[in-house]
Amino acid sequence: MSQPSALPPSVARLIEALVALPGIGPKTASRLAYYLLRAPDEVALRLADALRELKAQTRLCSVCFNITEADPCPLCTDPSRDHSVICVVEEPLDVAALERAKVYRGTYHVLHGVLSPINGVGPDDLKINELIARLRRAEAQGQPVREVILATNPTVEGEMTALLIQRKLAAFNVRITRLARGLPVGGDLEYADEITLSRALEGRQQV
Amino acid sequence: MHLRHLSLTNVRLYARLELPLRAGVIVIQGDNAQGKTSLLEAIHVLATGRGLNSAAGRALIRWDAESESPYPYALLRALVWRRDGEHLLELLLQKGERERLRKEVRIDHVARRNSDLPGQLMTVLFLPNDVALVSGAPSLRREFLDEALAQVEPEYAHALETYAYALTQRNALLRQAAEDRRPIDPDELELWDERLVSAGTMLTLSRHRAILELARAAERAHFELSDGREYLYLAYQPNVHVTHPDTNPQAPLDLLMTPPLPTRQALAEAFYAALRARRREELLRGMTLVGPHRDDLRFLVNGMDLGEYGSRGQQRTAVLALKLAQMEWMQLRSNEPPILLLDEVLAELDPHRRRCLLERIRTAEQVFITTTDLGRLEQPLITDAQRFVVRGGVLQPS
Ligand SMILES: [Zn+2]
Repeated sequence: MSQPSALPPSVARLIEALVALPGIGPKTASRLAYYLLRAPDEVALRLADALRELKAQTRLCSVCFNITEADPCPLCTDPSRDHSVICVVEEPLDVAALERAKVYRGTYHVLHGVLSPINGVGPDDLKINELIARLRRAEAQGQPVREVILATNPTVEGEMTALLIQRKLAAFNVRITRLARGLPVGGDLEYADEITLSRALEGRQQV
Repeated sequence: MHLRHLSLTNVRLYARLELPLRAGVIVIQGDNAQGKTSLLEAIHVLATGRGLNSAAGRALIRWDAESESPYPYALLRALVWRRDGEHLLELLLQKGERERLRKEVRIDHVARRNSDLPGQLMTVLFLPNDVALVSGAPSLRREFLDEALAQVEPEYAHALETYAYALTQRNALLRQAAEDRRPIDPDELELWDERLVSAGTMLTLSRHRAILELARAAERAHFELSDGREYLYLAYQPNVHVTHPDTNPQAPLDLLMTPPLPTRQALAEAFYAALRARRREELLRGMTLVGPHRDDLRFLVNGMDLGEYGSRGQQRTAVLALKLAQMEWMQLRSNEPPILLLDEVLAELDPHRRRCLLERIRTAEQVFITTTDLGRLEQPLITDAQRFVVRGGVLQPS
């Protein structure tokens, strides 16, 4: 997509940065850029601050790999949660969706992706070794994990990722379950409503 | 079955087409490159859902649509009348960013998987260059089998999708290992192997059964077309096959015969064994060397391989026999007559073969025939036909 060369470099740079984001095409990017240009200063500055803090203040939790400002994250340090159950999800947004549904009281493990050789994503990119280490650590501390819930999305990639984790955890004495098929095939955990999510969780099956 | 209505938006030459249709013969007359073939192609795509994964799908979108929208699309809609009633099929193809192609299938207004489309509508397509099916690359014959099978076995279309996915992923994995970009995780490779074997076994068995059935019908048709002079034999050459226990397990396949139909379990075991035997080579070359993506089908007449030694005339007859067999076989499998799409094929046949084909057409429920010249078609064929003239992507009754 060619931009008119008359564009000031600072505007062109912003459009370029926006286009690189998922789901934003050149037209949307231009519209956003011109909106920010015309909006009061504080609108643009608030966005800039939020973006800067996003990077400066957040990191991955060293236990569950969710995005957090404190390490370990509040979910991992909450004594009222059941630490013997781990729910494995693809992305931090899936944690947010499950937490919104208020039906799950265990802990999480965030993979940050799904298995896909064509996209160059292998087991080592998915925090699976970290999950294994976490199970070992819990065992050594005399507080073994009882159940791992595989809550990857019901897509082909999500299914393959779940199968791989199942294989990797075969040596552990742990119950492995998969979310029930209440979720639409190809659907995203992230977009499922609370009733669907709680049904999927309650109806989970041992694999 | 037959089409009651066809609607095309931005498909090839057609900016917009609304075409009410009846059962029977439909003749479309026009000069070359005016949209005759595109019309048949559009119907065939709706029936098979094939050829949409690549440039072919993008090529279907009308070229001019580019200038009208940043994300041009093509919409194909058909109202089909079947034994189980009337159904609306819709296929949307839309270009996205970075050369991506979005595909959306709707059946009776409900969004469905892409692999649910094949078989909702059934077609047998006759093209002037069909002879390449006999003389050309094995991939053409695999594509023929895939298109025919996907239309009569819904599970085949799903297995085809699963297999293609597993193959692409597995190839990527092997390539990364071959190029030392990342070491192979044995658990991961095993996972892709399982996917490949379960879908691949299903494809191989379905192809095997189909060829055994098609071979009988094709032999009959060929015998008739050749005036009782030639016996056609279709020999399936599966890449993964179960060797007879009495023979040397390394023995190559008999190229002149379809092997005996194996059990699912024996075939799956043979598949795993073949993968093990060639693992080192696969890791070195960075690609999957075993599986139905390497199958072939041979056409033998009186024991001679037509692909290599047949005359053009013999090859033409064999391919016509195959298509006639496909027609019969589809009807037998689904209890529903497929729609015939004949693109300029009558003109190139000699009187005897032409008579044989016309004889079969008479029993079809709906036939689309394209021609450059109405005078080349028999009068009885066109008397009751719905006739159209096409010029520059605009169709008009004639
Ligand atoms: Zn945490």
